[in-house]
Amino acid sequence: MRNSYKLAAAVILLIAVVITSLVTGTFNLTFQDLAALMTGSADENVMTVFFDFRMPRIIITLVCGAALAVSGLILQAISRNALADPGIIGVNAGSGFGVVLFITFISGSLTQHLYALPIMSFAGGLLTVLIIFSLSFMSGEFKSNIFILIGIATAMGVTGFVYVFTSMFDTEQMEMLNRYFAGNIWGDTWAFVLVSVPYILIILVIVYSRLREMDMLNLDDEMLTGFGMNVNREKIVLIVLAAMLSSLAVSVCGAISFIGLIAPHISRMMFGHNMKLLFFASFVMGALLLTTADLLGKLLLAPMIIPAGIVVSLIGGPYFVWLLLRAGKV
Amino acid sequence: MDRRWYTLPIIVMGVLISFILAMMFGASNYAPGEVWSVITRLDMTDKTHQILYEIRMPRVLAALVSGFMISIAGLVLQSVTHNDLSEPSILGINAGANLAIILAALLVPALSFVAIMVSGFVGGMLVGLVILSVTRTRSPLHLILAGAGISLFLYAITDFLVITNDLGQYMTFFTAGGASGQSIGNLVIVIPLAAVLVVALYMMAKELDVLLFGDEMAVSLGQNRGLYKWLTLVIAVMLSSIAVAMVGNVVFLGLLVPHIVKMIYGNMHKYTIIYTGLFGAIIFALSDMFARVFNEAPVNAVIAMIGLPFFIYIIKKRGGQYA
Repeated sequence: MRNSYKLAAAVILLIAVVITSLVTGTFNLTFQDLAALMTGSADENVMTVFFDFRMPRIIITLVCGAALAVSGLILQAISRNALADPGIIGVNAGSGFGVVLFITFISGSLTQHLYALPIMSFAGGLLTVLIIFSLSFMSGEFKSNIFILIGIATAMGVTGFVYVFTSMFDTEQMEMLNRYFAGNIWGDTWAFVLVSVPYILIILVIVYSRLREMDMLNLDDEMLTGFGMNVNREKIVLIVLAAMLSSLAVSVCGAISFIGLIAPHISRMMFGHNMKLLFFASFVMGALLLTTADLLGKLLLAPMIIPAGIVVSLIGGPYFVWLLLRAGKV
Repeated sequence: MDRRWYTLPIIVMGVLISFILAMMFGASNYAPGEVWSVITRLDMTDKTHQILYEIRMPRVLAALVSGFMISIAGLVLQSVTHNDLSEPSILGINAGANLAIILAALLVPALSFVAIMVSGFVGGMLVGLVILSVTRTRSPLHLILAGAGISLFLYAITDFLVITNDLGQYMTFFTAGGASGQSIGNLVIVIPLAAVLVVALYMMAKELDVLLFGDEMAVSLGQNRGLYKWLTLVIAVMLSSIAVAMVGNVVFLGLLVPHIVKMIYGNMHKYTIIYTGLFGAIIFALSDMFARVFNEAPVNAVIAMIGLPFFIYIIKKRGGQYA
């Protein structure tokens, strides 16, 4: 019972942040405007700001935050390591590489190739994870620790390759790349919502149907095999799901790290280890973290906008270090 | 004289050859004779000599000395942390140095090279403190994750400063890595400094051997392990932050070279320090040369092409340790 109160509190907080995000920005909306929007009598400017700018952005932010958090939850479950995060193991670097290829070879105006950018970014992230994944087998068995180590190394190596093309970039292209790596939510139009959100939601539903298996992965591999579970296959399915979730998310919201680490962790502290509860809690926490980061980035140094990814890292980094230094079990 | 010293003349020759090769090839190529004449009878009125001496040579020397420093730093970090995968950039020391340098550059606009090095050291050392406190209690995997997480965090702060202050170009230099734009003046400071630091390390070669055996062995051998752990760590951080100040964040080199050397020469530091340094100089100078030949590609891309497969190979080979 207490758990549902806590979850409700988180949801209420989330709603508050969402409403604040919707009304604040370079063009502030008043409560009269909101009331007018409800009744459909708002003037055209307000309608445009609300429906064409604020709404798609908040939807992307909510869904991507949730996707990153669930992706982290999955990675942590299969690696049995509370410090796993899609950003740390190379998803961001891989999709960054896709972005660089886009800037180098397609470039031009974004509107001409609306879908090319998220698709290349998605393909880069997913491919990277799958390559890392295929290298993580030892004598036919998937080793999650090896997966994390190779992921970290690949992230480092790929970041080097990213800069191969940058010597040819002009200032504007460089700016675009830096913004990507800083985690700037760029896909904030309805078109991007349509290309990413439905797929993320479908994958989340599939993940939900696998929660019991995720929960059981806490046990020994041998014991699970004894129960009749095909451990390797479960891990493979889950990794692919996690990789798709995070690459989809970063393909529209830029390189964002730490959400996959922090959201599940906070959820675990609040709700214990029930996987179903953790799934929903991580979902809400992830959405809450990214929307809050985006809101703070918009407000802190206004009119300058700090990319959400940087805000997340500024909060997440100290949290991560604290986790590391804490003597107890992590 | 131990047999392991027999190869020393060959490796030293290798350093000289890679120096000459790196002098020869680049945006424009020169004959070995021209390079030789720059060394033997420098004539600053000659245009070719001028280019080679003022632009090419500082760059090649910077690459050699940075490769030397980064590799030795990697070797020492591997011994101090008891972790085969330790390396200044994986552990986040480079990220710390990088952030501190950017911060210092923001506070004092026209920063001298010495000030860049010092601030880099302060930043790197702060990360080193965190890292060392993590190693005391944790598994090898934990240490590497810690380094990766700390790096991500520090680079986020750096990005923040870069974006809010319009320092894009400056930043790219550090992340992409590269030995271009060095002056003889900087090298005159760095080379003696590197020499002193490495000699100091060399005098502690035995202590490093003992550290490598592990803490229990160190205690039973009566070593003051706290002291030597710190001393060697401080020197390793100094070496890597000086390298960051010169050539930016170079990845994998500090991991790759010590491993190759240990495979050939075993684990005794009195050999590995010297050979790691020399091999590192050769590999970095040649990588920088290839980077130059391929249209000024970042040197990190060149090193990662060898380093990443190598890293994966090490992990697979010693898998049991990490799995």
